Amino acid sequence: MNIPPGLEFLQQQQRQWSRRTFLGKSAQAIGALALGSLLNPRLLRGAAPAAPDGRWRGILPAPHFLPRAKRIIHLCMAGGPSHLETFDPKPMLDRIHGQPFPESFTQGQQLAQLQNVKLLARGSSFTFSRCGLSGQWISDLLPHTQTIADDICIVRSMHTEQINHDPAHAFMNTGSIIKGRPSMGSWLLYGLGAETDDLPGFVVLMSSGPSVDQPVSARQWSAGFLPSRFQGVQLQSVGAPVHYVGNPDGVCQSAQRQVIDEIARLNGFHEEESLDPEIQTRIAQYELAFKMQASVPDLADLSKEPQSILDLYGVKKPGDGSFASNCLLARRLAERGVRFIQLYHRGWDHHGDIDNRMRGVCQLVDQPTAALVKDLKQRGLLEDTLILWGGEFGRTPMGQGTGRDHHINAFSIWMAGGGIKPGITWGSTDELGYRYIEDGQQMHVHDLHATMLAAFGIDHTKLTYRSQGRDFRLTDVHGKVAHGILV
Amino acid sequence: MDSLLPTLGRLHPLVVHLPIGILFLLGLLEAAALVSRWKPFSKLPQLSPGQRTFVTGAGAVSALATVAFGWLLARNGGYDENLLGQHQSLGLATAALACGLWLAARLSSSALYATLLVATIAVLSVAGHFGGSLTHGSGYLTAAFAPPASNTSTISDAPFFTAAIQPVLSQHCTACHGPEKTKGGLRLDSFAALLAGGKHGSAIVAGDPARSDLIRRLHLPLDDKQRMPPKGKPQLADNDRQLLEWWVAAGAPADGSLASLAPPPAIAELLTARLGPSPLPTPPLPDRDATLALAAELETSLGIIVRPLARDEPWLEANARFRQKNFGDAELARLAAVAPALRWLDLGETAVTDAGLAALVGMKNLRRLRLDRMAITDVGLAHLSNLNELELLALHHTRVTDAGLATLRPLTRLRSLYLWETSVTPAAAETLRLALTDRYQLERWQTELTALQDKIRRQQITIDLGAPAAAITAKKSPEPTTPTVEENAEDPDA
Repeated sequence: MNIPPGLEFLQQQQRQWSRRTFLGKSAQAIGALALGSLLNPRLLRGAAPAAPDGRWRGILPAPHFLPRAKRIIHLCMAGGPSHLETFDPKPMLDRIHGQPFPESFTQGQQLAQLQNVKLLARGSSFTFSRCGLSGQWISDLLPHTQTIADDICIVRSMHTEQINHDPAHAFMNTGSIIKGRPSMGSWLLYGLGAETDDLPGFVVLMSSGPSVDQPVSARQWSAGFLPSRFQGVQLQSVGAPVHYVGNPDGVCQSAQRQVIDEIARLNGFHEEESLDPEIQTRIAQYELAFKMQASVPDLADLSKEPQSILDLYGVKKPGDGSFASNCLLARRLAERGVRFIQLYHRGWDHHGDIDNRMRGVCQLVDQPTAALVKDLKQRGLLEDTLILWGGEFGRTPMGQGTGRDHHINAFSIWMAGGGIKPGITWGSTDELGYRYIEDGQQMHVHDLHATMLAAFGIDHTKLTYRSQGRDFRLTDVHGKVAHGILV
Repeated sequence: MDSLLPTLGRLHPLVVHLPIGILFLLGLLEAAALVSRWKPFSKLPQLSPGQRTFVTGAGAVSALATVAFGWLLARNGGYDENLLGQHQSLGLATAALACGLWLAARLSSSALYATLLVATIAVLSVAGHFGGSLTHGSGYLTAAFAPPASNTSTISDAPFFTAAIQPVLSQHCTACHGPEKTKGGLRLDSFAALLAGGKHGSAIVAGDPARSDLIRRLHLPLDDKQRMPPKGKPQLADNDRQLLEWWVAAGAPADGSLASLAPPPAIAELLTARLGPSPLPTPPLPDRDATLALAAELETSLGIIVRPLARDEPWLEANARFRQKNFGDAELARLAAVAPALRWLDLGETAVTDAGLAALVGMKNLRRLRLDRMAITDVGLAHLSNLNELELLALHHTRVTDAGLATLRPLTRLRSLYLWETSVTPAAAETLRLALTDRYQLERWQTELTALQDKIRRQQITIDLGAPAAAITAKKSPEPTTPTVEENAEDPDA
């Protein structure tokens, strides 16, 4: 038999590589690779772009396209503000107030606490006005927000998938309800780094005050499977933002510096031995903490803020932990180059007595929010700061006694600043405010994330991180950028 | 009947495609039959005598119909007599030849048939070409080969109309308003003809776009009968429309340079792009790879941020704010290495002085510049006067005054200027704002708005603004509605 030369070679190979040989060699190779990646976790992940000075400059060498926003302030209205009392007037709902809610809307839909209850329509008790030159509808509960109508873009077609607070927050923050996924602040920090290394790039503040009804867990600002240096750092909103930030008596700053350097040297030895990336995080954290000894007192020193600014925000006592105080701090954080600033204000979970409680919480939130937009604007910072105001879901157009239940099919948020078209309303809901309209302007949480990243010049499909064998991203396999609201 | 005949005439451009298609297909089929004698192509179809008679008959009938419709169309007038005459005689010849062809097919005279077929197709092609010239203008077919119209000339040495306005008109208007076809008696192929106007009077009123018929028709709704170019024809791009409008508003000058006409920034940009070098040449784009290497080096050695603005863009962003007083004139001077590539620059809160700002002169591509909270005065602002690309300038918390503001006049692209906590007076700021406002842009928006409002009125679109005002005012006091809610709460069903 005349065997062609190529085939002969293959047959020879076949003899050399018997099945057993192949399996044996493969196992060795995989083992070697596994060992290699254990010894150097970056082997399978690509090089990390830490600058020689250890600063994190972001995994992206440059944004995918021209960025508009440089930082984001997320005013998280925890509890689920009612869209029907804030940004989405529904005259038809008002008209059928007290009557049975049409079953055609609610048939087969998920309910939280209104299960097996007769559903009655509940109109809004509050009036709306058209505001500014843009003529956007804003509730008279928010007189200060009405004054910034021409600066904000109201999104009425938001919808989410989670009907309970904690998973809904997780979904809003991470795009998933599964624990261990990074929050949007961590993703941004991982992707772009921060402008400053004197402060954490991702800072969380929580209002303290009377109307606190739901706990917000620290997992909401966790870095998930990203290295923990990207997690959010919660500052105390009452008193000193960071405890024990000063040196103990008898330790001066130069001595402290020596201690930090020495610890970093020792940690460096340890890292060379164990090659654990979390040691890099630890070294970075010591360094950051040292810098924060100087930067945090400066940040928290509101004494230099003129009375006119305190009045603008409605700060009664600087550093009292109020939302107003935190908004002022948020502006100071933005000025200092923090990438992601997240303010939580709880007290929006109005299952009962919605009219009075809305009045209360709006009074606390309305003025500082508008002040933040105005203050950033006069400093020229609004053009590259993205502001996001909104909760984790909306509230039912069906009454729950004197309140409203959780609602995932429709809620309103607004955005302003960096790259967002001002003075427009995006998307809409049906005549009863029950469900978003699918008119191309619907905005799922994934779409919001995609749009937010787009404002930073990031293609949401291209910012990924490999964990447990697959590439993850903030929008997972979803997300559609709402180009219509981007400048 | 009066309106029926011209309408039938207008069917000519539609019907004309029937004889063209039928006769060319016939030619193709006969060619195929000819080739099929050659063995490899023996499977190609051959027309039977019956099919041949039918197809030639259809060709003849459609050709005759086309001639009839064409004659009706020509009666409407508005065409170049000379060209029209040629088209008419050739069209008639085509119809006659097609009839002869049908006869030859019936008589099965193959020699006559072949000759007539070749002749018909040849005459048809030429007649069709003339027809095309009548509709689209005589240079339409070869426009791509025509030498580019004075691309090298700058505005200053060529008459402005010919260089900037004529190309737009030639592209969109002269096919129907030219020497061959003069719809409405209006020709737009020269400056004199444009001024002369047509049957409906003058086309433009110099200095008054609102009263200029040409501009008005550009803005009519697409469905409007008077709209030009009419529905179905290629429409002017927005910037072309803006250009014509500005030109009329500026008094329809025949001549002038970019500097003397001083168009608003958008128009100036368009003209510069079309007509080549302007008195204010934009600096060449920096080389990306070299720039990035320099940027990385500067970032490390200066401890500031010097990064590419986006992937695939040559531009850099530099931010020295967080170095605060550790960043001064000497450090800024080192950024000169990447000066042309800098797009965003943040020097806020740094120690850079008036004298140090001289380094900005080379950063001609800057769009965003932040100089807030610095010890700078009007003296420093003088270095900014040639930053033509600047769109955002933050000067708040500095010592600039009204005098310094006046030096910013040349920055025509400036859109955001932050002057909070400076000595600048509101009056001076307003003066600058008016000087930099794009008047033509505003006027254009006004025109568009009026056109939209007209359209709404005409079509009687009803717009539901959501809540009826009555319902809202009626509910001014929230109390009356609340009791019913309370009752619901006590509802035993609930």
